[in-house]
Amino acid sequence: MIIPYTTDRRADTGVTNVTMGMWLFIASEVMLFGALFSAYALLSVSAIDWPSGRQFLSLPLGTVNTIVLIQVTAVAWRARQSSAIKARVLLMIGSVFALAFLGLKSLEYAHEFSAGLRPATNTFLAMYFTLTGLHALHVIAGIAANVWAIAGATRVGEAMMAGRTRALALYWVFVDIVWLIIFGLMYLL
Amino acid sequence: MTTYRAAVRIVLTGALCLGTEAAIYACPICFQIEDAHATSGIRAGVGVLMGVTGVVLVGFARFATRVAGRDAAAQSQLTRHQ
Repeated sequence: MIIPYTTDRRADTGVTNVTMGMWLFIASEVMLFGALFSAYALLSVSAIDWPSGRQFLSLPLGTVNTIVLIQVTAVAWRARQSSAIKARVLLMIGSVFALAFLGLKSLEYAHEFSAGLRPATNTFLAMYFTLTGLHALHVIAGIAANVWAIAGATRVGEAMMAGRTRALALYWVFVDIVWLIIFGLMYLL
Repeated sequence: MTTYRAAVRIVLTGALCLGTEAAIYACPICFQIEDAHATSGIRAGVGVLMGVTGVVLVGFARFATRVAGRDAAAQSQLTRHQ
């Protein structure tokens, strides 16, 4: 069975079904992270004494990670306007940046665990590990999607690859925005 | 039997209220204590969740109006051709 409108835009929605599906997925993800941010707001405002992230977290590592993740999005965004061959190379570069993000995050976690900072230490750290852990899972899923798109680039053809790259670019923008909110809430405030 | 059950309920509720008096009065939401931390926290949490839900709903509404607009344009084009 051939799924319709994977490469052509639908006349009624104005987008392909691939882009439409990605927007719906992002809407559900916004609700998921929205619930967690709401829990963060509830817990931080309710607490008599809420610690600042600077007490526990490494701001330089967080800043470097933010720059690295922005590179992933920039590369994915550029890939959406490129040919299938160039998009493949750009997605590979993006995946390497995403792996670097995960590597730095693991390093940060290792520092925190060695300092005795665990989710059970306090509510702030429980929220920190929940939010950043869930975000890291999204980065892993993004890398898997990149690899899947790269592997199928030559097989599916130019039009299909363009659709997949557009969807991936949207996904990485979402992952980046979530990280920027986490970075602002956890590291800066 | 019904009167007996009602009496038991009243006695148990009374005992519960007497036994857990401090815990009941500790709930600032139930007793509408405006300046309590928990009240502010609930307000902030609900506010953030409503904001996020609002943004998503506005997105869906915009999409629905966009589809309706495209449908109307397609209909008028079809009528013109006929």
